[in-house]
Amino acid sequence: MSDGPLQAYRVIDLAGPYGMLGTRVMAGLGADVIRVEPPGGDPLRQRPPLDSAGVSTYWHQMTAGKKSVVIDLDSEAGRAAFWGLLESADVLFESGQRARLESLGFGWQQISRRCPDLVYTTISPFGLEGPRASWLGGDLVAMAAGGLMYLCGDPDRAPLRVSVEQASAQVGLQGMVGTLIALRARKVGARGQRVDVSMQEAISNTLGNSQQSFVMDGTIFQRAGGGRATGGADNRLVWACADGYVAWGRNPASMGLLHQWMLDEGVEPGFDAEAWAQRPVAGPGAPTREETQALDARIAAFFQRFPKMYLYEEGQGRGAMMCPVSTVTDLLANQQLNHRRFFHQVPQPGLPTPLTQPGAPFKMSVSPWSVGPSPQLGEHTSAVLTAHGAGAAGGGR
Amino acid sequence: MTGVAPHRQANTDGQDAMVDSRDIFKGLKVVDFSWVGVGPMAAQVFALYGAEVIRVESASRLDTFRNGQPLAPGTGPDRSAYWANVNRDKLGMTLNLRHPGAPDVVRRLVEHADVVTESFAPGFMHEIGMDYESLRKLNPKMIMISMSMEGQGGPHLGYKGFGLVLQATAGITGLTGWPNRPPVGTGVAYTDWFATHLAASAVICALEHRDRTGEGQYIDLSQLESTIWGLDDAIVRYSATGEVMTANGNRNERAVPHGVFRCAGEDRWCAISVLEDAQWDRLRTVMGYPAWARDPAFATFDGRQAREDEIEAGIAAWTAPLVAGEVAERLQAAGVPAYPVNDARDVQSDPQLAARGHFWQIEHPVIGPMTWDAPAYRLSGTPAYPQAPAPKLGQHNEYVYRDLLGYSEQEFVELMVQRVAE
Repeated sequence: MSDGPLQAYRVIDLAGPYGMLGTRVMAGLGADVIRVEPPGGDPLRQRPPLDSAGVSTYWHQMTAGKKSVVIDLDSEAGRAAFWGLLESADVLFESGQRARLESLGFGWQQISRRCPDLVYTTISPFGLEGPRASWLGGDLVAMAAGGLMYLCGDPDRAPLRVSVEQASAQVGLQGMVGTLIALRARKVGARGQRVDVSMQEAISNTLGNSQQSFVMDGTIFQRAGGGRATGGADNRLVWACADGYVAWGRNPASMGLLHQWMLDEGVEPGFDAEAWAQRPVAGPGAPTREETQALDARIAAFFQRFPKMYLYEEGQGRGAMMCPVSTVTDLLANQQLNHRRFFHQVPQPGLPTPLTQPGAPFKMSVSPWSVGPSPQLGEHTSAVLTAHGAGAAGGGR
Repeated sequence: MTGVAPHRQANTDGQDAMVDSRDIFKGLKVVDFSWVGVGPMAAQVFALYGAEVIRVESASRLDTFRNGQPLAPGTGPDRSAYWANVNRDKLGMTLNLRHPGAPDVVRRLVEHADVVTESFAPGFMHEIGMDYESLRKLNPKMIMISMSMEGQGGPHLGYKGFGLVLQATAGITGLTGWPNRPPVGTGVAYTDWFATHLAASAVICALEHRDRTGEGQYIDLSQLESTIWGLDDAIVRYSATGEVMTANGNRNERAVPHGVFRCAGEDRWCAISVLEDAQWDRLRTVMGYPAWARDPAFATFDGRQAREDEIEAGIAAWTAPLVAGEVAERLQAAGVPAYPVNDARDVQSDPQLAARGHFWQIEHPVIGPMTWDAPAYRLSGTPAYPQAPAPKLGQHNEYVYRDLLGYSEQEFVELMVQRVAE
């Protein structure tokens, strides 16, 4: 048993990519997360790219710290073993498996009858009910349907998703929160219940003030390239620099600081900081497009002289909200993250060198974060299934 | 507490509603010193499920969200629907933390609290004597969470930011954009939602630990670190293969086609993804089996990926004269994942979100009718419902100071007169 804060809970993990992050974080928080795999192994073990031992890097990321139990759900013995597992568990957490589970006799009605205290968390593209509940989804579809995509991208091109899956991540974290609330409900007398989580809604939750703005003002926020999506104000945030990009917002309060910084670097600013600081962002007296373009050209030329980590640390030291547009290698070199020992080097059986994993998403002063490798196929089958007398797993090893 | 009368709802399992959603955190006392987005949103999770959440604000240094768009007409600090959407179901009190009279109020609040939240710049709580080590002496069972940009301590202590620029540090911005153009990021304060969901989880984890041991603890949440969890396998992938992931428009390394296509009308688009080979065959059937799509090489992912430009151009030519909603309906009917790219109006009228009850409507005393978004999870046995709109500035001062903190009427008046309570 772990000493993490969720040590009291066992989670049966049948989540696919949509939401699997939720059980991954729960494993880090000390829950006993059991990945149930078919005899040939979970297909996600082969999701490209693969490491030098032929195992998916995505698999490593999403199953680190989990257990692997092989159960053949197509066999009678396997289904019996799975019932045994469910009876031993607090949570069943799945995505993309609901129809198959129902066809095998593991529908919510059957589960709640036999395991009345089990929390059954089910993640789907649109939720379980409603006119489009059966529509096909995915990360791209959820980004479009939830409304975030419309706020992302350059105005002259198609709206954009993020190239790493955000609907999958958001719904996984919300699935975790909903699951934890359902577990708390048991402490005040509730039985198990079904936690029905929608990818579309998880994205709709990320829209900031755009919904209220439409309802109150009729304003429809537009995507603004590297700026904040708004009803039209000019607010560029992404700037090229010597070795990449930085994010920084020009606003009345930041003009004096930038002006001084340019002087200190021996650059003639070429603008009147006080006048800019007093001009309204919008409405009467606001700068024309030509004026802001001329100003932005001077700012852009200044930023292009320096590398992003210099702009980040020097700018922040001066009180500017300056951020580097980080790549993975920038993150691994980020001295704040390294000072806090955020990344872990985790030995992975089968690989000659450790894998780098992100560490605790929050630091708890007393409760530790659990770190471990991804499991070998069936590594925990006998230990888990014999522990509660479930017997043979129907083809497991 | 004023507001909408509580209304118990039958749960969707048809059983007797033995436990109401507001029983889940009933009796839990959260003193919410946080501001702007992340902290208030995290505390709101507990308010929705029945905790008593006291939002502590300064009247002299207003939460910037209280002036956040959209604003109802008029003047005053209670007009922002942005602020109101992230502070519903809370009690509102005012307190000037820098006033010499504040420490006694803070002491009573902390003694009252199960959970203390804050999201000031690191160092501020220490400066005013409200760091965890000081507060735990008042109440060792108390759980405290700090939610800062980059964490407490370290070489970047005190670095400033907010979700729109912090997403760049976290790697999100660099992974959003077209391969031949500068990256753009998401257009919203995107790190907020990682930090919010993880902060709520952190507090529940600390409650679990306290239930087991009786012990409180301190949670140091770095919004940067929380958001790095949203990078898929980018970190592990780099360490295993040396690959540095980059922005790739709307393309997907495992699915072709996977894009957003212009439709009829101004700035109308439809997202279409073929996640399995069988979906390609359905897509070309819906398109009317055009000549370009008949190439048998397209039957496999590898074949499609090799000629992705050609496929995207063909689909774009097909969708251009069509209405996005019709494209999506026809494709979905045939078994191809597709959806119109919803703008704010579309989201408000989306039939699926409406059927799910994603937006709650509630009357706010200053703003009038407004829309609130529900979480993405529905608990079948304990369905959540909104109860009270966000408080006006200092709305519950008398109740909090007198009934909860035990000040006499005379003491309360004195705190008002001395401007401690503002």
